[in-house]
Amino acid sequence: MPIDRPAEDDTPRASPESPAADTPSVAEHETPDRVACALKYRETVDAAYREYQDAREWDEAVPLLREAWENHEKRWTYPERTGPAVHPEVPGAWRGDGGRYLAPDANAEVVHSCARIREVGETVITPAMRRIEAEDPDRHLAGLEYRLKGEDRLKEKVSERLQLRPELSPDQVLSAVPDAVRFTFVYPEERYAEGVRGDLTRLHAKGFELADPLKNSWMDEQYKGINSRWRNSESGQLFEVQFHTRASFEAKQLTHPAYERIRNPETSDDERAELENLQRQVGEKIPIPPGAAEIEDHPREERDG
Amino acid sequence: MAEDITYYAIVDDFSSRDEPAGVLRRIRRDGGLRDELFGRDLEWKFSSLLYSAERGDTQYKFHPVTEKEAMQIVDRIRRDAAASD
Repeated sequence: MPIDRPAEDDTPRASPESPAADTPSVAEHETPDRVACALKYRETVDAAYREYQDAREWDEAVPLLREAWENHEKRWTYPERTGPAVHPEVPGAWRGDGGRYLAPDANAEVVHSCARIREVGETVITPAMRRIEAEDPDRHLAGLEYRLKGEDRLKEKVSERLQLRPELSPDQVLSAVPDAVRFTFVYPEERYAEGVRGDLTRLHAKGFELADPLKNSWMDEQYKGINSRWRNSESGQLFEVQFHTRASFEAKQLTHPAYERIRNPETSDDERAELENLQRQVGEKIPIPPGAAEIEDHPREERDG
Repeated sequence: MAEDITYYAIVDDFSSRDEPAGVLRRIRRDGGLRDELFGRDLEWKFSSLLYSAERGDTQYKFHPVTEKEAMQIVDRIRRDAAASD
């Protein structure tokens, strides 16, 4: 929707040759309050116009980026994933793509832990996040139906992380996975920085602890947004909160199939390089909201009031 | 065949920059891309950990290291594996 935007300067202005050139401008006759008001109005309109322009550029880029993905899919065939299956020779074991595997004991432990994570996620964390969402109507939780990561994806993560840390139990590995429960806030671009800071304060106020420094990826090539890892102190359960704009959230959805292929061990190295390039192309088109790159951890003095 | 390898020390909740949990190498070869992790099975195997980190995953930190530093981590993993056998 086009926005009624004033010209660069609406103030009537005399040309240098005109006899009126020495007369004071209209603004000089204004009272300070009216000038401040006009400047504030100009600022608001400019911000809205910038957001409108950025959104239009992103919206124009999306069909081309989708086409690039469709072309990629045509060029690189990808076998249908049949989904992880139980190990054919070992009852109770789990097998995923690319030889990922959990022995029966480990599999049973992960299944048990997943049930506990779901319970804490649904009875403690999700209700708190809904209450936080209700405190600001200007932004919303997106993709709430995906707040619990699927059990097979968690098993993939555990099996891969056990490669790095075989001395840990599957439950210990799973307890360190940050996004078994995850949420995404989506903000209007112009209110992004202010909105994120407000929600960091709300999360702390609800008693959640930031488990790590914020991961601010706004200046990265492959992905843009802020991810954060939180802990529910009572249960110790970790969860993830992502902070996006509409464009960065849409970009994440758009590149999800590419990411799925990138992390599949069966994808060829040549295709993986192309997929990385595709993700970069999408990333370049995402408008960076004002002040987003400077958002860091919430200062402790603010946090503690 | 042009090949460019970058090594990364992997740090998680249970390790530190001085004693990383493991080592990963990113191999770029003639337009191809592949990440491999040196695991406790003492082999370089495909890994998606760095791709996940580049997409916002907060669980691991990746610090670029020299080949020499990477080999020191590899040696430590070999020694740990031998000690636990």
